[in-house]
Amino acid sequence: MESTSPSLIATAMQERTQHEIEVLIADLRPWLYRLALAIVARPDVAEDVTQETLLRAARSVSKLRRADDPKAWLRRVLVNRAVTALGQRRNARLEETHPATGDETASIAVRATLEKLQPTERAMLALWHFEGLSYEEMAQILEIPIGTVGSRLTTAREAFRKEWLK
Amino acid sequence: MKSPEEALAEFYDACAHAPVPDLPSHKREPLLRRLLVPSLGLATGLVIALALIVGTPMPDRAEGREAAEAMTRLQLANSAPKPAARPRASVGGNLNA
Repeated sequence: MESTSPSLIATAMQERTQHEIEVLIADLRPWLYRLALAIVARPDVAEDVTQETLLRAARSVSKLRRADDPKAWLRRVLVNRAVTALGQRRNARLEETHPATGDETASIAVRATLEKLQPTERAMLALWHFEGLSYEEMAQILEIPIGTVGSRLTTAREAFRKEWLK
Repeated sequence: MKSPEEALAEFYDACAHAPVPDLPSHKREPLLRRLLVPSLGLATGLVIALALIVGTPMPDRAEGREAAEAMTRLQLANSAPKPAARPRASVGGNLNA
């Protein structure tokens, strides 16, 4: 997905003029929000995750400056926040069921299916299918060996397929 | 029924085009402040520290007076001349006697 170039992010973070920060937020929020939505599948949670990611960026401006690729840094922060948010929601969700009905849209059905997967499986599916990342990039974000990415992705796909066909 | 692959692709496509909610002002302003003033954490810490110092409840006057009086009594007691030590009783008697 196209978004702000890493150099523009770095420049904006270094100079931190109000105008550039405004531009940065306006430019990055859609990308961050949509990636969060692809993982958590709920607009309200995606909004919180996006906000937390931008706040984390604000607190760690020096780290962001040093990062070779600020966009990758932000992506990693967002994925971690999203996985954490999903983990926190797992218990609460037991009482918040979405019974399947014949008139559900496909999107709601997919969301219900995704909710049965592990948070990291959901992150893997989104990073591969939505963000189009390589195994190497996914390994860096999820802090797992590259060799493990393929097998975990297969497991995540199989888990989705199994739940979808139930 | 759609295949799992089709369903996922459709879902992610919907995410890619999902409308992005506006950042409400009550969230936007703190974010801007944090981005524009990276040292806010230190400043906030100082303000909290000052507030704690200024806001620390002082003992009220009655308590203070009682404490002062108690301290004076203690000092007087410590400074009073001690009774002369009694000569030790000779245990073994005078060996030279």
